[in-house]
Amino acid sequence: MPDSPLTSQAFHVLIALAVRDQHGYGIMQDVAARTQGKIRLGAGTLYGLIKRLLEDGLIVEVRKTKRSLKSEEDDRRRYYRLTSQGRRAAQAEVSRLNELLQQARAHGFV
Amino acid sequence: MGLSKSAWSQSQAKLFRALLYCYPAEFRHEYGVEMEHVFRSRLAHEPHWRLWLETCGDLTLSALNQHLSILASDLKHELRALRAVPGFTLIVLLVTALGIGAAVSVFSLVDAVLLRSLPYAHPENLVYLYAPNSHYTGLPSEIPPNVPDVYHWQSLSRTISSFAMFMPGNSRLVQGDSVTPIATAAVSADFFKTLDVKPILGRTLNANDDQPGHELVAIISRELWVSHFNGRPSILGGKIQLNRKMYTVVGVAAGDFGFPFDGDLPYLGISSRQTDLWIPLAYSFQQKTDRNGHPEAAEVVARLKPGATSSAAQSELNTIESHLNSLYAPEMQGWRVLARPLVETILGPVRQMLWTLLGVVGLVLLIAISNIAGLLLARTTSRAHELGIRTALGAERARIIRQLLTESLLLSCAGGAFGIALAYALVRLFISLNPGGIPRFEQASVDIRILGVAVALSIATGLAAGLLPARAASSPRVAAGRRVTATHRGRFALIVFEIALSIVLLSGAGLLIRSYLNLQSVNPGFSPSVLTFQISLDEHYPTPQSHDIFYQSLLAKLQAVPGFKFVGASTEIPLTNDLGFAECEVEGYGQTPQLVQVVGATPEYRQAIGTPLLRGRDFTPTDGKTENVLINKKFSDSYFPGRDAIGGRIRLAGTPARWGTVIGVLADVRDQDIAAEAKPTLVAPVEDGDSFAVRADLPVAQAASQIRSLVRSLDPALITDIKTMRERIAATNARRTFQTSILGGFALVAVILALVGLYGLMSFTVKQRTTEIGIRLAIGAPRSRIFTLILWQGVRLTAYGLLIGLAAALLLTRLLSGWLFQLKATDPLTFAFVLLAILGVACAACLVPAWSATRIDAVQALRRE
Repeated sequence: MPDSPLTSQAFHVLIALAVRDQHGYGIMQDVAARTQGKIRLGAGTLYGLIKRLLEDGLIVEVRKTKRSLKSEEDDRRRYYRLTSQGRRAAQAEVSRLNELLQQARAHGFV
Repeated sequence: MGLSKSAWSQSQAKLFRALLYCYPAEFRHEYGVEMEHVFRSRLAHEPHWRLWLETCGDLTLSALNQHLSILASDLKHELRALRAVPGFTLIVLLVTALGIGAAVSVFSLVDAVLLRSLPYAHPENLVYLYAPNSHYTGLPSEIPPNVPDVYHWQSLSRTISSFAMFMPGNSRLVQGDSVTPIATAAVSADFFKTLDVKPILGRTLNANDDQPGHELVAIISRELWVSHFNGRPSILGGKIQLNRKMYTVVGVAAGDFGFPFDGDLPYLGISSRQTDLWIPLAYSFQQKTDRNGHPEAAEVVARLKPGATSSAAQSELNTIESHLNSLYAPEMQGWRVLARPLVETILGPVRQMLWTLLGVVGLVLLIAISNIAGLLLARTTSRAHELGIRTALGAERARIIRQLLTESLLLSCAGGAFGIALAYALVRLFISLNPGGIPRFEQASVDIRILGVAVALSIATGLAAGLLPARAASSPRVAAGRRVTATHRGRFALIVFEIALSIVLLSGAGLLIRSYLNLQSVNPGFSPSVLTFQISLDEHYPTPQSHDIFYQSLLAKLQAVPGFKFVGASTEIPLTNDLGFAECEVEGYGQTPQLVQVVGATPEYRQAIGTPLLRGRDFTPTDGKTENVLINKKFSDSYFPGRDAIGGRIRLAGTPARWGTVIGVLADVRDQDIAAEAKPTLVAPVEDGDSFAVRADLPVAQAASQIRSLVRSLDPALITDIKTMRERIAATNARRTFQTSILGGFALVAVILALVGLYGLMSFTVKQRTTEIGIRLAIGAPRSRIFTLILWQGVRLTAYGLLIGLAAALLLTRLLSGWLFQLKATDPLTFAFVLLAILGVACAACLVPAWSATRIDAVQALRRE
């Protein structure tokens, strides 16, 4: 588990990997699409996050076999998969945010 | 078009790939290809300008982030690793602190004296003007010009914008009962304008002040204003008493202006560090125009017009002067003009000394760096196992180099911090040893810029010392955890280099010390314990008769003091830059008048000052009325070669009818500088003089206070500067003492560093060769053989260092030859001593490791393997 809570960027990366394994560009596109282009991760930031998440064990790298690749996908690319630990971390973050939202509601912010 | 578009994309991708080098190698190797993929994909779908804008920001931040996170983890790792080897850490820190401290302290001296600008605006445009005359052979060219000529130059010159005339001197500031000697300069109206100095209070001088008969006004320095007038603004318009006259203070000069400072004028001694008070010269019409007899002369500093050079000014003024020469009496024609840049005059003499010192500490720093490199090499060798494991686990070579460099930088920066503290202390020490006569010497300080230099030096030290070990340690051989001969060879080379450098420094120091000892053993021709002083009389004693009366009564009173064995008066005290020259004719030596030094002395003076009488007889009280003279040995050797000087006849120019007779020959007196040979000197009998020598049986302090109270009883307004000749010798030698002690100190540090390095290397070698030695012992090698084996290895390294060092020293010590007194820069005795000394201490440094090698237990050594 990471020592520090997830940053919002890291959280976005985890969400991008929630449904399926993705390569770097896929993650980037996913995040950009979900935020209507408000968050566009640069290549350096993205792989810095990936390195950190790998070290913390929240994601793992997977090599796709040729067969499992669709025709337009590049077999040299590295794909990343959410680990169960990563899923737990994302869920913990969700419940933290949820709690925060409830408190905000109770105080009439929403 | 399509093709060119794809080529355009290609080159953008190439640029991106190049930019990836901003990232740590490890990160780049891991993700570089992926990142490029991402970039290419975006390139195909996004506007290029936006992509690049985002990429630049992203790249800067994320690359920095990656570097910082590696740095943090390396630092954490290295701090832990260093804590495990406190001895090693301490030694590296010490060596770094010594190297950096030495370099930074001397650099701050160089900075204060040579690099910071002088306290005048555009000092590069200021020139000193001198007027040498071919009639004055044997005299220096730096003769102050004649005042009437300067006024002519002023009206005719097109290369010079303004001229400042000045006459440095001393005056007494009288405030109630207290009398303070103040270095004073009488200056022309344009003085402050020429040096471009503004007042912080009131005004500077104007043309009206510089008229004879005008109200007496004075400008004071800020320092004097603060120290003697509490910085009160009401000083303006106030009266102060100088000597016996009242002056109105009209201004306070800005900043630290104090021209002329000591050391500003090559042949005029300024007794204080700086000038604190300026009054107008106020020349009369006659002084401004009269060229007959002895025309008025003054020191001149001039400001060149923008674009003019000192040589252009010199040739222009020479043209003007060639016309002015016709206004002089025929025997005095031949005046020329010499323009010397002020900066050159002030800094020229100290420049070489300071650059040499900087070179010396540069060598000390180099030795320190090689020492640290050696220590780090040894450490990486002993860390080979750890590094091997890291490599086996997949750490890249660049990563290992980076980690080791982080370690050396960590050490060098920490050591540098101690070095800065040491530099603070050293600068204080230098200032306390201030030899005087070096401008702004006491302003040396470790300021923010010097700190910047210190930090840069620390980083450079860390990189320089860390590079070799890091490269060696990350080599595949070490990676495989094998024996490290490469690093070993590196250490041997470093030790040879260190020994060579320390030979250079020690030879330089040895030469200076030998030269210094030579100087100490010179017989100066006077006794060091004699008390001497000079008394200048002011306008209160207007006539020569009143001078005679004062001096003779003082002499009589001094001679009457019980305990004063010999008391004499003369016209000069040796080593005070107060020499008189005159032309004289020696009978039997041709018609050409010879320029010789002339001293007047009372009968007891010779015994009081302690000059040995070589032949003939001394003055008796009755000689005062005769034409009998004494000469020194140099005079006798020069002008009475091969014949007896006693009874020889000499006459001074200007006294055509009166021949003097030589009655005795004195030993030579080194009265200009202890290092300079005496000039042919003629001693004429006088009844009094302004300079006194007292040889007393009393303790120095008691005798001095007796003299002081005697002078005060005659005239309380007079001040005396009583010193033993020993003190005057020390003052003359101050700069030599300074450079010798500093160079000697640094050479000692260098030798110690080199020996510590050698000792460390040999101890380490023994540890490395434990198995080999064990085998040798096991197969029956005698322990004495092991001992000589190790010792011989150390001696061989030293010998290489000696050879290289000797060659370098022979080349480099030539730079010192100007400072050496009665010694060649290749003095074989010094070099032999240095070589033997280094060889001796190097052997001593190898003895302990060699002895410990003989204590190795063969069985245990073999079992270890």
